[in-house]
Amino acid sequence: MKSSAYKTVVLLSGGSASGKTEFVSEYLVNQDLIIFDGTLPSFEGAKIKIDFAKKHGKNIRISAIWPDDIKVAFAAFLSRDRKYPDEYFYKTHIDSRQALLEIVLSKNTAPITIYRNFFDQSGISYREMSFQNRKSLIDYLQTNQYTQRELLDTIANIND
Amino acid sequence: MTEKLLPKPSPNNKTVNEYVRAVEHGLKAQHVMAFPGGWVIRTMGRVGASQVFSTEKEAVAEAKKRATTKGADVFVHGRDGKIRKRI
Repeated sequence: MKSSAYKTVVLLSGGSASGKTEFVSEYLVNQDLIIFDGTLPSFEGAKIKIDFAKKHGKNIRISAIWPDDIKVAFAAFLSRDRKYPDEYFYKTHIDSRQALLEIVLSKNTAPITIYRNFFDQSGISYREMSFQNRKSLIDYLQTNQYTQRELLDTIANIND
Repeated sequence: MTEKLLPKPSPNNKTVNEYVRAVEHGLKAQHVMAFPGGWVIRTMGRVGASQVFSTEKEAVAEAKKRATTKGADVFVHGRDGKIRKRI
């Protein structure tokens, strides 16, 4: 990162199979960016990346990818990520949202944009969420945290 | 809070197309799940009444039959909801 001529670092955030790589391939791939395509599962890990980027004079931003329907992401996960147990799916979705909230609540933050995606007969679409201020973003993040029980119940009611 | 719809991904985007195929395949999967009084087979994205099987074995056999027709996978969930077995 420190030797790159690119000035902007993008940290992706979002659970397994939420559509992060697909987002990059469509909307970020031809831009001069350093992209970390991971789930961003912990505040500590994010802080290290943010501090390192800032230390080397980079602009840093976080792009979170959230599926409207967790079952769609789960369907993709079951098809693609065969080597991981489903627990991994739940954990990455829970942890990435928790870490995002902790980043916003911390003083050492970076601009965050949430992109939600939805799936219909024409495929996948993304929309960008904008918040009036930090407080409304915090409220949104606080009311959109997951627990493993909630995710399991959603998946269990699989044909609802 | 406001929302802005981004331009639809290009139909030639291979990464997106692979994701869409993965979703479509995953939505066809047959999930054998514990249910009060027995076991049921469920699929994502389809609403309908579920037949209740007395035993897990019966449910798995039927799920395999349906999966073969659809070219889908079968997942057996434990009583805690987590996937116990992939068939």
